[in-house]
Amino acid sequence: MQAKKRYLTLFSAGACLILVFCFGGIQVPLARGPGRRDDRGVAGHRPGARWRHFPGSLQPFRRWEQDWSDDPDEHASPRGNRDANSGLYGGKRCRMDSCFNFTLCEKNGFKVYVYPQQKGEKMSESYQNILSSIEGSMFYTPDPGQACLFVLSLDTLDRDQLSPQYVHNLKAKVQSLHQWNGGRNHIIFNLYSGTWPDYTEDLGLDIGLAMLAKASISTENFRPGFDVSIPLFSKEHPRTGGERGYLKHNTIPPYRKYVLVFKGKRYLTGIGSDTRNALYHVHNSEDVVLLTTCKHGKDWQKHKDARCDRDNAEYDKYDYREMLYNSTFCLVPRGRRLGSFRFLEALQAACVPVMLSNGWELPFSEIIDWNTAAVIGDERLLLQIPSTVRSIHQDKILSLRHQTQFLWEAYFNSVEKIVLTTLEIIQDRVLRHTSRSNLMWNSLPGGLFTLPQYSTYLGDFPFYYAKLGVKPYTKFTAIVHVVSPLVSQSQPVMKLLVAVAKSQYCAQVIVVWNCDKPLPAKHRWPVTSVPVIVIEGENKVISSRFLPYDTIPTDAVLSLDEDTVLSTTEVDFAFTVWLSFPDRIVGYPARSHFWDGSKERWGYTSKWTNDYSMVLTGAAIYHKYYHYLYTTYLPASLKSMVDQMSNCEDILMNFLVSSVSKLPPIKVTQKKQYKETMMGQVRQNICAATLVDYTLCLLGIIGGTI
Amino acid sequence: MYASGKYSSRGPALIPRMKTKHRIYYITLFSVVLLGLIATGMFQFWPHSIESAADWTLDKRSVHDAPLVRLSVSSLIPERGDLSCRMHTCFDVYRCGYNPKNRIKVYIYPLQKFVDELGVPISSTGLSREYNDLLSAISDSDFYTDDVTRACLFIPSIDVLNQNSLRIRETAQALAMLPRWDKGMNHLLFNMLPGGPPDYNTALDVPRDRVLLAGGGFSTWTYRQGYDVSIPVYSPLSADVELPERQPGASVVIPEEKLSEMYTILKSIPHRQVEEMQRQAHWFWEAYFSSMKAIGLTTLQIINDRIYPYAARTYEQWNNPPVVKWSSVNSPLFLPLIPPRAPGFTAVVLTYDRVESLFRVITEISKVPSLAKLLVVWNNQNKSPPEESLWPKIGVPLKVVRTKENKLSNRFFPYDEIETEAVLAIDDDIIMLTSDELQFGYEVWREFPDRLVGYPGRLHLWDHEMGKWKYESEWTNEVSMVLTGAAFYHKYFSYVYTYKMPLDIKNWEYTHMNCEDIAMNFLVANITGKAPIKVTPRKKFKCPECTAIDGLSLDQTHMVERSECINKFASVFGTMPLKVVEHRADPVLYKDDFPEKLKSFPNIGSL
Repeated sequence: MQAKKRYLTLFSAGACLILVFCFGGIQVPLARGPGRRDDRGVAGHRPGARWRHFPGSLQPFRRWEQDWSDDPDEHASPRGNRDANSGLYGGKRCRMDSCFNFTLCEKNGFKVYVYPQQKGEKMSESYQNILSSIEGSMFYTPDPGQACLFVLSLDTLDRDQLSPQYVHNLKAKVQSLHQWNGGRNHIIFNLYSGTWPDYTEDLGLDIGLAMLAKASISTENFRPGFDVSIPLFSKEHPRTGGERGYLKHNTIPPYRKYVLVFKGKRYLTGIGSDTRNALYHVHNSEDVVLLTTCKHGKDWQKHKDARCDRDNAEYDKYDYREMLYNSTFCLVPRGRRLGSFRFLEALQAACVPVMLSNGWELPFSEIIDWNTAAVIGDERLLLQIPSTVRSIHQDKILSLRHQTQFLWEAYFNSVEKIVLTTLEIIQDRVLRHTSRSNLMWNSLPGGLFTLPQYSTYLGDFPFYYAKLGVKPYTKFTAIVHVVSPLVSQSQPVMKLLVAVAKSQYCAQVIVVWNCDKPLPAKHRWPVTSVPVIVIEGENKVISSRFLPYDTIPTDAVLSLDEDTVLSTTEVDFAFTVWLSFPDRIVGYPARSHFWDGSKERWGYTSKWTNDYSMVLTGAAIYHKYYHYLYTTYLPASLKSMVDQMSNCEDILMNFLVSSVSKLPPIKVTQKKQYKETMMGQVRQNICAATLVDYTLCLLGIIGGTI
Repeated sequence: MYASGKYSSRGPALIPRMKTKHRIYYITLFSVVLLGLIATGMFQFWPHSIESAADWTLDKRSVHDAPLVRLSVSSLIPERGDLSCRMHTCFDVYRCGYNPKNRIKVYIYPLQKFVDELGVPISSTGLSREYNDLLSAISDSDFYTDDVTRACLFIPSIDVLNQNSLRIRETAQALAMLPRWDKGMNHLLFNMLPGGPPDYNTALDVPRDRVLLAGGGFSTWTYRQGYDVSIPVYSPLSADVELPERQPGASVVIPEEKLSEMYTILKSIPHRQVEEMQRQAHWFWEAYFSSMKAIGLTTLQIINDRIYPYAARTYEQWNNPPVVKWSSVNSPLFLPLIPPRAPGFTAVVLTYDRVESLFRVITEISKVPSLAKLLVVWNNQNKSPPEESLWPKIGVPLKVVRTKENKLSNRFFPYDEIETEAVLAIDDDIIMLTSDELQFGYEVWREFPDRLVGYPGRLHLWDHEMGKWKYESEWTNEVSMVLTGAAFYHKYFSYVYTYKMPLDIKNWEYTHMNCEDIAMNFLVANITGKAPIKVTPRKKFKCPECTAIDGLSLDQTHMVERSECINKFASVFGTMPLKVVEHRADPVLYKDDFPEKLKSFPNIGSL
């Protein structure tokens, strides 16, 4: 009883407390008004008063009759206004609308002209690489009359007067160019501008209305939607091909030996020296290793400060490569200029860049969402950086890391990629309504492989189904490549047509007639429940089987040779598998490539092997988009080589698909062996070796079959 | 509230047993408490009436009562807006500081009525209805602080939404009088109708120094990239208008001079894309632009993202409606990387006390070439694992982990001992898998490292009669799950299972001592949007004499429970993430008429 009483008293006491608290809770805001106002006195004000909604009716912020006055000036469009005072919007205030002549691009599309090289002009290797990348691209035109964009053959990359690469008299040379026209529709590439001591972004020539594709450009000088910020790349940066990213493992937890590293020069005084001078505050020689050296320039000894010797000693203790590969984050502080080589190095090494370069317009910022691949810090908050990066979640680290690799391989790993990305960005501006969406640029396989001219709808490409939560259309179009004349109803192609047309997933059959004989009469084709369309192959070349025919109403294409033997069930099964792997080639006849050590070249084999790297298009399903890429994206030289040989188009297709998807094809099983003549074997051996030279995209070797 | 509820439910049972004196005392006390609670409840439910009542009685809050501030002709006028301003030059980040939530604090100046020396107000409208709504919405949000010393962003209560209702010079003077003005540093102004005759500028004409401007109708010349915020306002279609922040995908931009071609351009957009854009535009509208509240909070979120970029929302978060579940398909392991073979895999064997069978499994697995380490998860707290000397001698390290509780999910813990990416989860009674089958499974996993790659396949089906999901273990043409009694997966999924799995599912799996494997299948499919991969045709896993379908699964009640699991998980995930496929993976030369000794994986069991 006593105990109960005690409990009861306790309870009531508790209840009273709650009561007091509840009332108190309400009284707080009431008491807050006049009571606390005086505490934070800023004279004449009522700071500290919580903003609350004012009751009662107030006026709206605009009255409609105001907006619809009859003043004609009021309805002049911004363009009208701008044209009236066009002088204001040139030069430093250039935008596409004011400084670019769109009409030049209307007739022939986005074509790029490169001025012929003058004899005796010196040109750096990097600039040569830029020019040859343009000349090798699908944008190139040798005719200035067709061009919409002009590229100088004068080396503008290095505009540092103290540099040996500096080209003199550029100002006059540029002005004397035939098509210069005040710089309109020109693009100027630049990596270095300004020189010691202030490193301004002045190029030492009048660029007029020309666009700048420039490294280390600052947001102050960057003309949004007009200039292009490009990455700083070294002389050794490969022209084409490009190294892959270093990421091989996804260990969990994703932390590496170091959290944050940096190794680089320290500038004791002058522009851009503050941040690197302050790095030692954050360095802890354990997991945050930020090393600087004073040893650079001729007379560094003269200027060295108290810390130099200690810093230099610490600097020499660590190997840069080792740090790069074993760190989760890599610091990218500004140097004399805003951009530095550390940026691309970190990107390739899957070491998430931590940017410390206030005011740097990041490379390709117009299209790349850098927050998904880098940590953008603020130089003023250097001391917070370690705690900031330590607070980043494991998941975020993994995805940042993957994104560095994707971006590196998609836009940065060769001069060619950098140049093509620059041109594609400008093309997107020119074509506007057929430009890439943010997702196309920022997710696999990247903007260079996603051509908006094909479609601007993501669901029309094989890459975004999972992201969009949609499925490909569950029908396919069979495309049968026919080269021999129709002689009897029992020849293989007849059986094939019947079997394929019977498939529940077949929407249409297209026969590409590449035979020298004229088209057979309609009634000679078998009667099927789905429409059979016969198309005469363009010029009867073998590549015509891969044209993106408008008559293909489906996402999937079943590509067939005339002598392929397949049953309806086999077709059905292959198609259901493709639905799970819409970005790959899924089919029956598998082949592999191998490195022939004795001949020092690639070899091709159709022998029985335990692995494969290609699935031939004699019986394979893939996305229709690859037809478009094959036709428009591949270099003309490769296609004509294939057409001349009348062979190897299937290998080329495998190269294309694997280099886009970075994935091997999928072989599906079949009871019967898909046959191939010995003759074909030999020829394919030859061309496989030739083709591999085109790109060393090593197809992943698959060990399984489905 | 909760505690007092407890009290009232217990009280009546105690009272009759007490003396009258006490009884009266307690009843009085009790009624006081009750009355108090009711009163509190009322206050809680009608906070507005209380507030406004308090205002009217104590404060008499009204815009007309705002304190009057008289400007002198000579008072300071700020500089014109500085076009070169960027976050790192004109914004003081030190005021925002480092905070774990990565959220800026926003202060709103109290309302004042500014008049010139003659007593004429600086604005014809004063505080507009919209600006009142906007500021109120901000003050109700997490961004708001009433502590001026802690704020990193300041919003004047001077309404400049419509420039036409303002006296420009006086408004500027009023701004400069704000106590924390400091050249407009860290101050935010909202303006929707800039410009006035004769120039109709595209940004607010009020001199404002370094102020951040959230404006409607910016041109690309007046907009300071990365500093200002472009907000929507009703305005005629024109080419140079800086579109409201981050909204490609929902609109088509057509240059003014192409207006005549508009019809053809619009017609060329694929039909499916138009639908997509309509959906997107609608969602944008709802989420970001539909009200002053949405506009205000969106603006603050954009500025917040600039100050804490590493915590910023991604483009996709801005652009994807959160209600749509498929947007959760977002694996951080999205690169098509084929992991190198060399590191091998770690086998994790979950066991309770079947030592003999366990030892057999260990001996079998140890023959697999790519096995890197064997981890035995000893789930029996009442019994110690056998002495070290009794364990089979194998060529790779063998570690035993003892668990604190007998939970099935212990097998999915991301143990530090697992140093490889690949994990083979295997039960202590799966003795029939051959070394070739396991090695082949590992090779297949390398090609599909973001999937579950396993041997026993299962299916979920929609039961039309019952109107719910059903679990299926019979021979079927399709697969949507692989059992983790024998499956390879990436260690990342152990981490996600342990730390990100909805608690609801973990509890269910704990109380039922079942379905941890189904939960894992749900989790992986939900993150990746991909189906698992079944390898090899094998159906029998435990003992040669057993029937093809494993004994455990035959049990009827077991099947019912597994079906319940599927329904439960689908309701927790809010969707059915499992994907059904009709294929499995076999070695390339499997069943081909080819010498067995030349095949990489000759010993693949058929049943």
